[in-house]
Amino acid sequence: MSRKENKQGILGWLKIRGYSIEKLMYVAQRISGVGIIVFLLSHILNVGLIYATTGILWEPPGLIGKSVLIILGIIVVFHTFNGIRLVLAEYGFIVGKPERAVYPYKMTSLSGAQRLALYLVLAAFIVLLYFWIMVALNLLGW
Amino acid sequence: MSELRKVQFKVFRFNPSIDTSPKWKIYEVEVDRGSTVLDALLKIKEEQDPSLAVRYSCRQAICGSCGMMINGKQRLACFTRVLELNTRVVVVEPLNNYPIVRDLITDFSDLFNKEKMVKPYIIRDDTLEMLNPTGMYLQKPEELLEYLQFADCIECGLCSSACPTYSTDSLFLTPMILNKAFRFSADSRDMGLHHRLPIIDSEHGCWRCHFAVACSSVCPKGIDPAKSIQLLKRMIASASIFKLVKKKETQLVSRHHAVESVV
Repeated sequence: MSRKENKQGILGWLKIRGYSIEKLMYVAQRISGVGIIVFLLSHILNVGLIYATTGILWEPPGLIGKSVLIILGIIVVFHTFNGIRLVLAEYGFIVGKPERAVYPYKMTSLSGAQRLALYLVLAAFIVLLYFWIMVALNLLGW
Repeated sequence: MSELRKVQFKVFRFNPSIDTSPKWKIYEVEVDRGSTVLDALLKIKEEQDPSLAVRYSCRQAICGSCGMMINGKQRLACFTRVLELNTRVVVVEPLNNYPIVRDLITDFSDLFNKEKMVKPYIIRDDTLEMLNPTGMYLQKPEELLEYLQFADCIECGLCSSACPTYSTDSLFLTPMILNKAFRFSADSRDMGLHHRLPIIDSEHGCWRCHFAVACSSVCPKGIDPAKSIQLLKRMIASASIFKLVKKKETQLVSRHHAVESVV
């Protein structure tokens, strides 16, 4: 893209400075979504290759395999909870009703029910993360 | 008389018809607590560098001409006080995601072309009344409230510049245009949603919005474009999937009757 066109490209997705926490959640949702897709594709390829070469369909994961699964669990939990918030927001359930714009302006899509849902997502994620870490430590035998 | 303070301005300079790459120029300006970024830029233009290109008109956040990136965020230059930024160096660039005309001026042609596509006017079935108006359509205060907030848009383009989808998808309708589409579709007098659907319910329409809410974070007029886009999605989903279309029954009052009631 030429300088004259002035398009931000992918950098426009990742820019969070100066914006609200919702933009950060947007970036996290994108990265976690890409992470899940990358895992899924590499997992299918990996299992397929092992099965094709050795005939073994499943064997207990090693230390690297367990670590990948633990990280995947964290990503999936975040992506799911935030996804529920986004579905509610994108169908207009938590963004507030149209109202008169009175100065100092308060955007209901950045406050009220939507912001509460965002904090609930973060709280639920932290609680589940704690339990997940406990499971992970057990899995790793620590 | 308020105290004057020296502030450095790092200004983006680029003339695409001459320059091969942009350059930054630094200017030092004396500002007081009431000085806006636009005041400072005009002072630079008058006293230091007349070649600096800035677009502005009303100087009071009504015309939406002076949108630019100020310290990395989309803002109106006339609505941003220099000292409230609380930085020693103020970085000023043209708005992201629009082609640069020169220096701080960007080209909004793409937005205005897209605006025409969503038919930003009241569409009605009663063609005869539209061609030869005999009266006016009544509107209740609660019906007015359905779109009033979104009608305040000054088309400054800050929202579309901040939109992450528009940064990678040039065909995306952008928050400013989708807000306009919702403003008219939500109007109790309008019957044109199905005329707008082929554009707003398309691959590059409202469903490409992923609720980053950057548009609402930068809107200087309290429009909340993120809200209008989500409400537009809801309206389309209700109309397309559940066949739920809000029945609009607008009462037409004859001009004669309206004048009599006022008198």
